[in-house]
Amino acid sequence: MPAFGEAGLRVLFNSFEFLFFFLPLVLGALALLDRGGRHAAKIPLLLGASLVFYGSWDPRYLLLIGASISFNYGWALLLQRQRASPRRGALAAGVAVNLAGLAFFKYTAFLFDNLQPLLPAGLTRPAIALPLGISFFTLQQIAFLVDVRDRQTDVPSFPVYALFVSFFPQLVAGPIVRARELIPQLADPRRLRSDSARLVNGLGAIAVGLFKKVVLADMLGGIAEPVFAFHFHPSFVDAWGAALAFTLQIYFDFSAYADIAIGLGRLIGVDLPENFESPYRARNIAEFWRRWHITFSTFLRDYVFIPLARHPRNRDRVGFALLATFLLAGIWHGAAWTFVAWGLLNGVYMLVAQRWRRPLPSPLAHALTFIAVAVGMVLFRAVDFSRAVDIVLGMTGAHGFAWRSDVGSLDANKLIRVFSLLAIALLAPNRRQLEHRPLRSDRWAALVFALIFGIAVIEIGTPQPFVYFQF
Amino acid sequence: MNAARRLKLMSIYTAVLLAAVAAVNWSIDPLGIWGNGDRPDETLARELVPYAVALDRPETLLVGNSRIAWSMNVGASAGVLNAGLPGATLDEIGALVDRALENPALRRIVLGADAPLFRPGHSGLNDRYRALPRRLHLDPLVLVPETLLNERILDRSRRVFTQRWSAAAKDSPGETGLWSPDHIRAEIGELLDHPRTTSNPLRRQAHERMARGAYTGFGDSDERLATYAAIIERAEAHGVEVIVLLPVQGALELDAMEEEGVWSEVQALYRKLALIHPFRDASGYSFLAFEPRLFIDPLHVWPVVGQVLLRSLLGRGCAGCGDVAARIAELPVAVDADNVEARLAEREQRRALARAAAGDARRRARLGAPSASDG
Repeated sequence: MPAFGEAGLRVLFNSFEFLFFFLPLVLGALALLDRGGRHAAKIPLLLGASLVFYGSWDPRYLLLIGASISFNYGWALLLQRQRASPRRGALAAGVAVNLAGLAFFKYTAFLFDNLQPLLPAGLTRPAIALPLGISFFTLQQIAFLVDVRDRQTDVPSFPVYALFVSFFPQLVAGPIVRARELIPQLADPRRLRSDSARLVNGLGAIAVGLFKKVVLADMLGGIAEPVFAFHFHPSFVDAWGAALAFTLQIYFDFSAYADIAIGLGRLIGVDLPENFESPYRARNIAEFWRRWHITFSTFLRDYVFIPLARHPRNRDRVGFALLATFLLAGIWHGAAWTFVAWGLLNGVYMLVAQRWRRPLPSPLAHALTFIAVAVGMVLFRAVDFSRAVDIVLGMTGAHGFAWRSDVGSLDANKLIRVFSLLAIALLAPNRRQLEHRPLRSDRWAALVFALIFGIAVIEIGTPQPFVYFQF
Repeated sequence: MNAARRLKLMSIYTAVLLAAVAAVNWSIDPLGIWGNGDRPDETLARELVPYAVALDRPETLLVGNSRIAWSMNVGASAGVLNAGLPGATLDEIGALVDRALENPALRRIVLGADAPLFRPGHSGLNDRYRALPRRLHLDPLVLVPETLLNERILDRSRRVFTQRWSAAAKDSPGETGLWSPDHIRAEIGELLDHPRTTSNPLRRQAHERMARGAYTGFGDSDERLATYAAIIERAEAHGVEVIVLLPVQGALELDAMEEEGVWSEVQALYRKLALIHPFRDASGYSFLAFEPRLFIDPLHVWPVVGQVLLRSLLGRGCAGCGDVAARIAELPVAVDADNVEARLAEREQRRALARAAAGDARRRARLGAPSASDG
């Protein structure tokens, strides 16, 4: 932790530093290079900006990401050279090194806590800070190694590769981009430019994302927090209110990050993939996972589930593959048993959904899916099992149904806000749908933008980090 | 769609909207800190207090943690600035003092110093972005989003405007700065007749946890003591008088100290503090500790108590404030290196009396007899 007085500039998307200083500077420099025809300099510019963005959190992390990029680039060249006569184990070794790095930073303390009785006395718990975005850039590079081995992509030049990994719009929390989607865009610096149409679309996506984060998600976080933090034996209303508030918070928060990342990409001339598609409108859990954190689900499907399901040694291939895939998803999210349980719970949901043969009426299917997700989110949010169990019991009414007036309890005002935002999540068009139905009047469109962006800007205050930064 | 035109309009409309917000905030209450004695909440206070320290030119500066922030609420006027920072650390207090010393009008500092400030691991509510130095130096990248272009400040501006409007209509401006004796007497009477102390069990539990946490394994730190001594030294080197106050403690906090078995450690800290610099002591066992009606919550007294203590510290007296106020005004006893042992003995005596009384009350309760306070 930095000492008191280290007032570093931490470049969060939802900060003035980023919106009114860092971003205009980068876009201005990019436009100047474009106007001067110095396209080749755009890659170093964006790479430098990305490293400044990342290093603003803690410059020591630059060493880590630099080492990770260098190792994976070298290993990818090796895999590319071996394509004619691939050596068994080369890919596995590369993946193992990546996972070992991730495990060291993310799971050492967790393993220490759980294995403490078996360890020699006197060992102190290691204090290892989790580097920002390590889960995301590790996953993206593992996928790259696999794609190089499978001839899905070629190894680009080192600066392009380094930019592919560190590209600041999606470095910290995705979307997790496949090499064949992003590298061709970055490798053609003439594309890395913006025009009025891209600026309008990009700023629109950023405004929507910013509004979702600072107005909606942060407000919902304030509603969920007290119940998750210190409401022991919450009532039915409080438990459900907090569970719903967090379920909505994480959606608005994470999808906001994706909206902003996509918007930033547009400003730079890069198209990033969509990461959310109104997930709470899903009719079943499989559909939910096709709409939620899409790039992560796709990664799991392509690089974990399919290889496992096809593996000849697995008898009940699909069932095993589902459970293993979601267990991995849980572990990837965090070093805690609650995340393991959350992953397994989703694996079980998927198994049940896969084997369920009787179609359900649509409203019931929607409701069941949403409730299942919300129950899972309690595990995702709670600091430990006992808190999760306490809140889930509250949701069953085990701690009473009566309305309470405790500190942080959900009063009518909070419940109205939660249910209004639930209605928005379920019924309102998402950002992508809005973009397909643009306002024709420039004046109205500009006014709507100014209101959304302006309200978001004055709500920023002290910026709160995105929930997924902790992963 | 004409993209170029739309982009231009987007920029213009956004700029107009943000300029309007900034103009409203600037014209009513530029930084949200000159309101009518209306303290902002914890988070907002931590954001706004440093700006007030950087910009205001008070003669008297109050620094400390929430015990100062909430319990000596004088607003930001009449030559006194309350720069209490909820969850403050000594490092933060030092930074506030250093900035305030740049104010040539500053004559004295009242420093609220409670025992938990001196714990080695005390990290207070030091915010995620360590923004205090940036705020103290009016860094526009934090100042603008936290003040001029800020929805919460806009809301404060609205309230300040409404307050001023209604005050103007009634021709009775709200009282800020040091309260008048009449106001103090009336406020104490109101609190004693109609207690507003929170009875919420959850909040009480939270405060119990907080109090226990503050004293679990309590011990002071040489480093913290050195920081404290250096703050006083720097202030005095600028010719500024430093009045240290050990704030009032409530029964719950005293219970936490007893249950954690750290009374002697706190006494030892008391001795060390006296050797560093004289102080005024309102802490420990006193009649006030057992008067919950004068507490906002188990850890903080109502501002009226702080007002009386402040008058006492500043030598203003409180004639006409009433009997209870007179007893409060007598609380902060002067402690220095010469009389510290005698004061420690007095504290022990008061503790013994209080514990005997508590034991007596418990025995009476067991026997079903009325307690002394029932009458």
